[in-house]
Amino acid sequence: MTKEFGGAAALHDIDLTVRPGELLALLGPSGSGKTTLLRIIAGLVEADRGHVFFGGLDATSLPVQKRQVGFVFQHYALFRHMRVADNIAYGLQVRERANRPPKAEIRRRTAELLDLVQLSGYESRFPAQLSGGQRQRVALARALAVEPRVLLLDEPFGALDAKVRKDLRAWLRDIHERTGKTTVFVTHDQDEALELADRVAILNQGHLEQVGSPDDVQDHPATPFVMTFLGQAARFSADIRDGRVLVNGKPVPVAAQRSTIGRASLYCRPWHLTPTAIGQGHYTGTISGIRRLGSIRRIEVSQANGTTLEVEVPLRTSLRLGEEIGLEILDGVIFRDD
Amino acid sequence: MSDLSAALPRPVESQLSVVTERKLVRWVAIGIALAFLLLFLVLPLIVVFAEAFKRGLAGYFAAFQEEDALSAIGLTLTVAAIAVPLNLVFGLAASWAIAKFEFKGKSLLITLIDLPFSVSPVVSGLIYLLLFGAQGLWGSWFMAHGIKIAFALPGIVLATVFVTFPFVARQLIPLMQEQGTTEEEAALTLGASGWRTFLTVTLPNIKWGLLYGVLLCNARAMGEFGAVSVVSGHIRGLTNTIPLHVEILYNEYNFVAAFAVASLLACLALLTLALKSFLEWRHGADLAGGASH
Repeated sequence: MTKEFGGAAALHDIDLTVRPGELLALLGPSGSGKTTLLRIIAGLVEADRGHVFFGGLDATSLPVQKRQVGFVFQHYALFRHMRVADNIAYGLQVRERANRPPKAEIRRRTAELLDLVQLSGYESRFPAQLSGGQRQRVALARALAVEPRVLLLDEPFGALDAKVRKDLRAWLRDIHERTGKTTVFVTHDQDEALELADRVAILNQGHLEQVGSPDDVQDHPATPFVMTFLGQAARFSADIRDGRVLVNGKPVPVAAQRSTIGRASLYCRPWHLTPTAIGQGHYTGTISGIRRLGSIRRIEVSQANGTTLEVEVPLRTSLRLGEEIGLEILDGVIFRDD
Repeated sequence: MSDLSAALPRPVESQLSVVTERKLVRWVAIGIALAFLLLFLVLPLIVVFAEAFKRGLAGYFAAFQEEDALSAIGLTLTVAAIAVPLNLVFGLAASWAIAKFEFKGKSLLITLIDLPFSVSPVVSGLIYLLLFGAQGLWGSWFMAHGIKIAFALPGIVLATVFVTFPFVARQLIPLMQEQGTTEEEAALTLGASGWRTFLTVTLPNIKWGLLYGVLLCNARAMGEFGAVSVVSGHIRGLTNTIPLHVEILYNEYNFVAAFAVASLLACLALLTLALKSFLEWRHGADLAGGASH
């Protein structure tokens, strides 16, 4: 399956291929164009330039009704005046007479989908009588009822509270494995994207920054944006000389291409740094905060100029608030400054 | 949330809320409101019915056996039967366009919809007379083609449509804006055509609001006096609606008949009020939008 886009004002020359059967996350901050991209795929928004392909089929000029996509909205968009069963059956019931399955078949299929989303027994409830999580499951069943070519989910868990969100994540993964449906979902939550998706496409200000597996984008971020968006990262000014990376004149165990030379930025995760005696290491600062994060501690190290960065240390530590320490860089990702 | 509210003590009934005034102030305020209602609404209503039944039931019903009265009732029903459906369609189209699409001149359109509320009905009647009267802008053309608009049914319908235009649209615009477009989008992605989406998703969502608007529109259409008075020409038995007929009877000192016919309008008002209250009570959430969804 190939989808190519030339930008609407919010998107610039996006070229994205979704593989059959995969679960792809469109990840980005708000305003990055991820929802617009999803709506272009669905046919709810028209691209100014470019094409959308489903398999070999050019769907660019197909109206939304003919695209056969299943779309799940952030705020469910259930038909509030219809019962759950009628909501799910809607896509089948509006088909032209020639393509419409017989009544018994529609009923059988509705029951099957209700079972799939674990809502059997709820068929005669109205949407207002369901919880947020239940509504989103009905919305998913409704989208699946039309046997879509691709399932598109727009921030499907955005309106739910943390606990329900976590349950639904696991459940969506399970549904995806059982149906094998090609799925694209939009989210601004890195954890959600990295936990759920086979591949993650990261968008920023209408540009596609990187597409890759969760390991790929975390271990080999293509741009500084991807590095900083996916988690805490401290930035150090660095020099590249003879294939070695230097921070404050001291070498760092990070490989740089031999041919590259000049100014660069080194980005480090909290676990890429370790405390050391003052005067040693690449960096000096004062401990301005110590927090516990489950089985580890994070300390904040500040400099007089106000810059603060985070370092991970073991739970049991002799470090004290206000203590001045040095920091050693163990690892990081290097980007040339242009 | 339910756990939390269960744990809190129930508010004591007699406890005054912070916004509640002292007893005396409350009674004075309520008293003034009630006195006002009695003086300006209830008493006139009683007078209408008292005068209407002054010569008993026979006198009352005699007023409706008169041919002019019957024709006035017939004309009013005809005008309402044409004007209300027209405004239902106009109002629906206007609010659909305003609530669901972005286009240039949208705020101008919203302002224009309110125009009939801000223009005196007599003035709007005069406008139609100036346009379609014998010496009017287009009137002579229509006259030449044998179509009579001023001082005839088409003119009365036009004036009524103009005056009652805002009712349906005003009711639907906030409701449709509140509901947004995602349900329609969902229907489209599921393969429903635009028309099908309108019938199965949009219309059911606004049906109570629509009914409410139609109810008010109808009450005004039947009761409209000013605009219709100007364009109708007061031709007895031909272009007199119920309100105009009441005026004529009154001017002829035929008080019993005047009040008897007026009582019809009063009944219509009471019926409208009752239906309106019922709708508000039964489907309040659907009228105002914001139904939990």
